[in-house]
Order: sequence, then structure tokens, then C-alpha cells
Amino acid sequence: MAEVKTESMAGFVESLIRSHGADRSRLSFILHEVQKEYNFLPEQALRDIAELMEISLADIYGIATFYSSFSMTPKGKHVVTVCMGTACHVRNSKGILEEVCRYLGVGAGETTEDMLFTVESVNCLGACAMGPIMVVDGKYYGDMNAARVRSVLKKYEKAGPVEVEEQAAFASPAELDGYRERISHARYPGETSVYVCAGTGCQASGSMEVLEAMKLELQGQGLEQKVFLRGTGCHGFCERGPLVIIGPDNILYQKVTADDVGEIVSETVMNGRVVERLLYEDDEGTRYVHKDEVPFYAKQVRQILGPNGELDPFEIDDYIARGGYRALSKALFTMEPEQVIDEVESAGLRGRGGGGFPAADKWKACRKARSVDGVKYVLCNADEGDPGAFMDRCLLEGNPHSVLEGMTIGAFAIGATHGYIYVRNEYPLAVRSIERAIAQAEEKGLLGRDILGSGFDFEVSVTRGSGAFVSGESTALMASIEGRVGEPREKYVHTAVRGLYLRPTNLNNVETWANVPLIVNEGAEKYASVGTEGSKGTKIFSLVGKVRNTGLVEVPMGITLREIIYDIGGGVPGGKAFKAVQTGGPSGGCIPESLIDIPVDFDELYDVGSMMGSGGMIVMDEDTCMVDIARYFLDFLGDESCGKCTPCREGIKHMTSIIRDITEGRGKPGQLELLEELAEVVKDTSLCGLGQTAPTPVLSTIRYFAEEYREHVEEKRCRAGVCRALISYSIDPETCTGCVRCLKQCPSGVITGEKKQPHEIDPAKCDRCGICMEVCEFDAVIRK
Amino acid sequence: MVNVVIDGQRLEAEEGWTLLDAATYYGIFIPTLCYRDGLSAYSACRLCVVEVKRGSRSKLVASCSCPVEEGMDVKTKSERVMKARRMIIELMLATTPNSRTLQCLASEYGVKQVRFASEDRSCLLCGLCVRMCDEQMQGGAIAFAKRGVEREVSMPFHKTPEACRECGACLYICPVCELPCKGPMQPGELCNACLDELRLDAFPSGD
Repeated sequence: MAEVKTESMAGFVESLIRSHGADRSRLSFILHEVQKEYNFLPEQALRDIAELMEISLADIYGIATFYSSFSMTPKGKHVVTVCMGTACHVRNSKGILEEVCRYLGVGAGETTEDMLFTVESVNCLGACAMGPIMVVDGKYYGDMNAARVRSVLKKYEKAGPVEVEEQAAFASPAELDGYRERISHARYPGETSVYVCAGTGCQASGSMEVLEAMKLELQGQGLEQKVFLRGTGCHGFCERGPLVIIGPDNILYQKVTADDVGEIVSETVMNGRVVERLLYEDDEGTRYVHKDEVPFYAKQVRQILGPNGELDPFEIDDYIARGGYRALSKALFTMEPEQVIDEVESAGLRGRGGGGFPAADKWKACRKARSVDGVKYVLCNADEGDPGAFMDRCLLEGNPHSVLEGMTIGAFAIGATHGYIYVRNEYPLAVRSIERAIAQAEEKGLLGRDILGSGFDFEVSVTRGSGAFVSGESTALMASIEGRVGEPREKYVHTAVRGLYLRPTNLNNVETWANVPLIVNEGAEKYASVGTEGSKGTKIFSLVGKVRNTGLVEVPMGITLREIIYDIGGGVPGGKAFKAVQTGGPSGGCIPESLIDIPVDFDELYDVGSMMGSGGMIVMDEDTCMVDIARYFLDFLGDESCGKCTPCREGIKHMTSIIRDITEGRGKPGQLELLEELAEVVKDTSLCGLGQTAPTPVLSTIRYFAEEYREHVEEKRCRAGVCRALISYSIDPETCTGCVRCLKQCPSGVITGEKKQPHEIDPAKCDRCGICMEVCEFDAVIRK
Repeated sequence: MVNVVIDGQRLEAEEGWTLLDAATYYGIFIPTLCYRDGLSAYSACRLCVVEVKRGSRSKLVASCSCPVEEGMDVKTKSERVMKARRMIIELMLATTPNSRTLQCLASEYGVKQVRFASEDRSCLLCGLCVRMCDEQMQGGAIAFAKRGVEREVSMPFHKTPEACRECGACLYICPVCELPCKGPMQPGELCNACLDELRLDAFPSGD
């Protein structure tokens, strides 16, 4: 296949369109098929598609060049990628790349003449623990060495599809169980295990160096066979990373550096002694040895997030060894689809993406809905766009198989055969993790045709978002998967009846899917024993903002906000007073101190004018201006509104302009009333959830912090000292020592005064940046 | 047949009708901007919202796309509906003062002032032209571009594409291409020429 035969290609495109239909909704599918067949999108194929499907060529070219999964230049049949990341680099990935190039006779980025191989190098695949890494057609080869290159590539030289089977697909649940038994023994040879957090937060604070050092140290001590070492998904306590946990007692070391590794191995791993200085210590000086005693973890119930800390997301065997895919096997072989739905219903599972809609109701409606050709879809919403929320990313990155298993069970219950995971493009590690998980599950017969020999087929594909918050809305997400602009439409006919490609479609978010295997495994009764009357199970929050212990927390529904913020979060730092907590992202509201004893569940949060949302929890203190917060969210939503419907597009614009007037000292009496009047109409008439909830940050801050709004409008005063137009800085001549520090630092140069004489700020020229106040060591700068 | 109640009248509607279809059939007038017979419903202007009661709760829906359902109790002129429509007209006037259609609607609904910062963008973004070109003329020459407040109707790369036959259908259907009866208006200015004759809220309401 050195050249593409135009004649056969025209035939291919034509038969493709004939068998799949010329409807525009098939466009994205057809482009994928052409890409699969030719490894790129030949221009003539696009012209043929445009003609046969009667779509303008410009449209098709736009879509083809828009999505990264499509290529406009030919690639070889097999794509060989060598990782050049830091961890791989120190283990001679350069030598591997050279060997690949030498063997194939081409340079990096080139394709062999026989069009069999394309060689690529990549900056980091995020699978650093297994480095050096080579990937062929999505299959990962870890711990590579130059000598192995030849033997691996030889397998791909044979014509036809390459079967690189190390483990045949499981043909029955018994085979899966037997395999689990074998690998469980093989995987936990010694009693000691070391888990180094390789979540994005800890990676940023250097956990990969810790992991690398740990690997070398264990090898050096001859312990690599005896100690089970894993670079895992996020442990949640990002504030204190890099984190290292030593099993079986779960000793937690925090802020670990590569230099600490030697001591950890010699003391803890080899001799069972605790390294005191690496333990978590609270303000009173109490040190905690075990993870579960640390206050951050003590009140959490980490049933979804927990496994993140104990498995390598790139290793399906880690997941299987921990009992993974047992729920799928149970559902396929011992339950009827309706029973699965009943179980999910009695478990009381509600959607974790924000709305809290009962999952079983959606599943039922979708199962009942008729499809013209029998095709139904299940989708996973991983377009986590809320600023301040990252739980879905951590689940996908840290435990992708739990999401896949949940989706497969859901598909079985609903009667769907196709699934899509819609991941935002900003999460490349999550995309890789889930794509790898899909490939592994297919290889093991846990996904694809005839899963575990049950006769049930289910295929999953990954679609990347393209940077639009509104595309997380269900109908917009579906439009985006179909290859259109990610813009919402009316859903008076539910997507369960007419969704993706006009077929019955069920959409749940990442966290919701991850709850499903747990429900099937443990049974509805046990699952529902955690939580409140109306909200069962746990919820993951990203606890951020003005709180001591930031990170990801998983708590039982019904825990109070106070417990989360003070017991788990450690309260507000710096002796400042707590003011409010914002939940629900841009669609949510601010909850004042007077309400922080309410139990956290879907209904309670809604009743106080906020919402659960996907789980962002942003703590605010006395230095946060609530009017400014409303402005921040309106700015965000203004940027992200698709602009289709009038109230959202124009309403947000004018709400922002009114709020901006208020924060900039142009507030007039009556503006607040106009703001509220406008907010009500935007809420009432907007087309989709983005617009309908856009006024919530405004309405909730007016509701609880009306006094602050009044001060801004009537007294032109911002008590938090945030709104620059409303504050002024001056220097107290009594306290000022004349040290000239502020004078030197002032970027506007408006501070005057002699050395050892009190300084003065020219209020007319002052930019109110507050740097003088920050640098003054004598508290002589006053902000009013 | 589907039984619905519109403004207190028990009516029979055909399966598959929208609320707007049903109301129009029985001569109940609902204002529309982005909806036109012969073009697909777009549900964007939100002027055609009506209040639908379900149990003890009620909500506003776009009548141009909401299908009739058995037992629906619909109010086309409730205070909530009128308030929403007045606000939507006011919002649209802030960017499009020179639309006769819109200025007349302002008079009918008693919108007497524009309280928002105004600028003349001369486009309601109703998308009638886009659908006219695509659905009736099979042109596909114009489309929406960009998003949010930046959204605009545009030809690809702002150049006339081959697909444009210069048929003028887009101009014909545009609700902004006809000046108000008092002539050009400044942003924020209202015609209100026939305010007193046309006040709809003087009519008996559905409440």
C-alpha cells in the first residue's frame, strides 16, 4: 500500500456512505473510517465525501483539520513513538530511539518507504514509572532496552493485523477469576509496598524524581523483587506533596524529596522504623504516623478515590488484582439488565456532574426508548470545565478502569453497544490513561466483542473536547461528538430518547460511572448505608482557596460544611476570619458562615441557593469581596457562553456591566434592583443550563451579602479591600519609621518622603496596588 | 390527539405539534422572532416563551420547539411571561435599535425605556438568514462564527463564497433590514409611535 489507489478509494468511500448513510450525523464516523483505512485523510476522499454527502467541502475540511485524531498527511501502517521525557531520558531513551531509527532506516518523524512504520518522539507520555517507554500503535512497551527493539518491531512486520498477545482474551468469568488469583500472588510477593503519588499535583512538586530515586534505591538494595513499588494516581493531599505511603501499615510521608529516599528505604522499608521528620505535623505539634489518623484523611470515606493511591493506572493487572472487573462479571452472568437498573435505583445513585438527577431514572428511560436501528449510546462526560474542580481528571488519570467498568455495566443495563468518553483537551494525561485502559481491556476481552464470553458487545471511543466550557452541557457535548459546533439545543425531547446521532443516549459523568462497580459489588443496601435520605454514597470535592489543607477529599453525603472546612481542611490560614464557601462552580452560589453547619447533600445545597455542582469547593475569608466574586464568575460565563440565546448572551453582558459599575464606584441606587430583575429573567428564559444558572453567583451573593453590595453602592466602600476604585492607601505618620522601603517598591512612584521622616502617598496618583502595604514591616500603611 | 389547555381553553392538538403550532391553529397569537414557518426551530430569541404548569410547579418554555403533551396547562400571557418578553425586547433593543419589527414589539409590550448600556450592532443573531440560506435556498453560504458576545453571522473568512448566488433571500427575511417608522434610531432610543394603540397588556390576560 505504497500508494493510495484513487479508484479503490472512491469505491471504499462510496460503499462506506452507502452502508452507513449520507446523513450529516455520520460524517464524523465516516471520516474516522477513512482515517482508519488509509492512516490519513486523502484530499480526494474528502472531495468524494463532500459530493456524496452533499456537504460543502469547506465544512468537511474545517472539521478534518479541527480534530487532532485526523491527519492530512500519510502515516505508516504502524506508528512507533519513543518517549523522551525526563524519567525515560535518564534511562537511555535516546539509545532506544537511535536503535529504532537504525533498524528501520529512517529518522525521527519519518515514514519508511514501504509505508509500514512511522517513527515519532514525544516529550512525555506520563508513564514515567515504566520508562523508558516505546509505544507501537498505542501499545506500551515499558522498561525497554535497545536489544528488545528489534524483537518487538519484527512482530509488526508481518502482513495483516498484528496480534501481540501476552494474555489471551478471557472467555469466561472463571478465566478472569483464575487470572486474578494468579496475579494477586505474583504481584504482592513481599509484605512491604511503597506507593508514590504520581498525580498531577505531586508530579508538579517533584514526585517523579522521588519515584525514580525509590526505584534505583530498591534496586541498589536488591529489594526490587521483594518490595511492591508503584507510582499511583492522586492521593488527594496535594498541599503536602510529594506523598509516599509505605504499606502494609500505610505510613504517610509528606513533602518527600529524592534526598529522603535513602533514609525511607533503610529505616522504614528495611527496618520498620518511622522517619519522624517526614510525618505530617499539625499546628499543635502532634505528629501522625498512619495515613488514616491524619486529620485530613480521618473523616474521609475514600471508597471511590481510595484505590487511586494503590494502583498504577497504566496497569490493568493492578486493577484486576484489587478485584477489578468482578462487578462486570457479576452483572453479565448473574443479573438481568433490569436487575442492574433496580440495584442502581435502590442504591439511590444521583448524577455527580452537578444536577444530581437519579441515574436509574435516566437508565430506565434510555432502556425503554426505541432506536430505529437498535443502536443506543452511553456517554461519559469528562469535560470537567469548572474552575477549581479536578476530581474527574484525577479519577481518569488514577483509576480509568473503574470508569470503564462502570460504563460497560451501564451499557449492559441500558442495552447500548457503543460508548464515548468526552475528555477535555486540556487533560492529555487523562486522555492517555483512558485510551490505554481501553486498549488493555479490549486485549483482555473485558471490552469489545463478546465480553468474557457473555455474548455482550460494547465498544468505547474517546473524543477530545476543544476548549469550550459549554460543551459539557449534554446536547452541546453530543453535537461536538457528532463533529459539529458544541452548542446546546432544546431538549424537550430528552436525550434518553433522542440524543447522540438522534439515538437514545445516556450521559453520566466520570464520578457517577466510577460509583457503579461499587454498587454492583457491594449491593445497593450497603452502598446506601452511607449518606443522607436523599443523597447516597460519597462525593469528591476539590477543597481549595483560603483553607490550610487543599486537595481532593471524598466525604460521605451529609457531612457538614464545617467538618469539611475545619476538620479536614484545617480551617482558614493566617488567623483570618472565614467568610463564605463557594460550591457548584460558575453555576453555584456562595454559602455564608451562618449556614456552614448544614449537611452537604444535593438538596440542602440547592435549598440554600447553591448547588453540588461537580465538586469545586472554594473557601473564602474576610479578604474576599463578595461583589468581586460575582463579577469573577460573570466574566468567566461571559467568556464561555456560546451566544446562541438572547438572555444568556445579552443578559450576562449587562449583568457584568452593572456589577463592574458597582465594583468601580459607579454604582447607583436602583442598579441592584435592575440586576435582580435581569437575573431572574436570565434564569427563567435561557436555553440551557449555563444560562439558567449563570445568575446564581449574583443572586446568592445578593441574598447573603446584601450589606456588602449596599456599602459598595451607597458608601463607595469595599470592606475586603479588593475593589481598587473604592479603597485608598495612606501612611500613618506615627508608625512610619521612614525606612523608604515602600517608596522604593511603589511601581507608580507616588510615595514621597525623606529617609527617617514619615512618608506620604499621593492619593490622586496612587494605583492602589497595595504593594506598599505588603512590604511595610511596621504596619504603617493603612487601607480604607 | 393530545388535550391541552391554552389560556384557559381546552383544546385538541395533533401529536407532534409544538405549542406554537397549537396556539397558532386556534388563533392564539404568540410573538416570535427567530421562528418562521418553513424554517427549522432554533429556540434562540426566547421571545415565544410561554408558561407551562406541571403539577404545582410551572416553568417557561420556548413554544416554537416544545412539543404538546397530554394535560399541559399553558399560559401565553401570564405576568411571568410578559415580564420575560419585555426584558428580552429591552435587551435586544440595546444592540439593535434600528429594527422596525423590534421597535413595534416594544410598543406592543409597553417597553418604554432601555436601561442597559447600548451599542448598535445591527443584528439580532436570530439566525433566520443562516437557516434561510441553508434550508430554503440550499446555499450554505453563511453561518455563525465565534461565540458569546463576539458571535456574528459571517461568510467563511468574510469573503463571498462560491456557494452564494446573491439571491437576496437573507436580506428578505432579516428583521433588522427595515427601519423603524420614525426613521433611524440611536442606540437606546425608542420609537414608541403607536405605544398607546397597541398595548397588549391591556388585553385580558390568561391568568
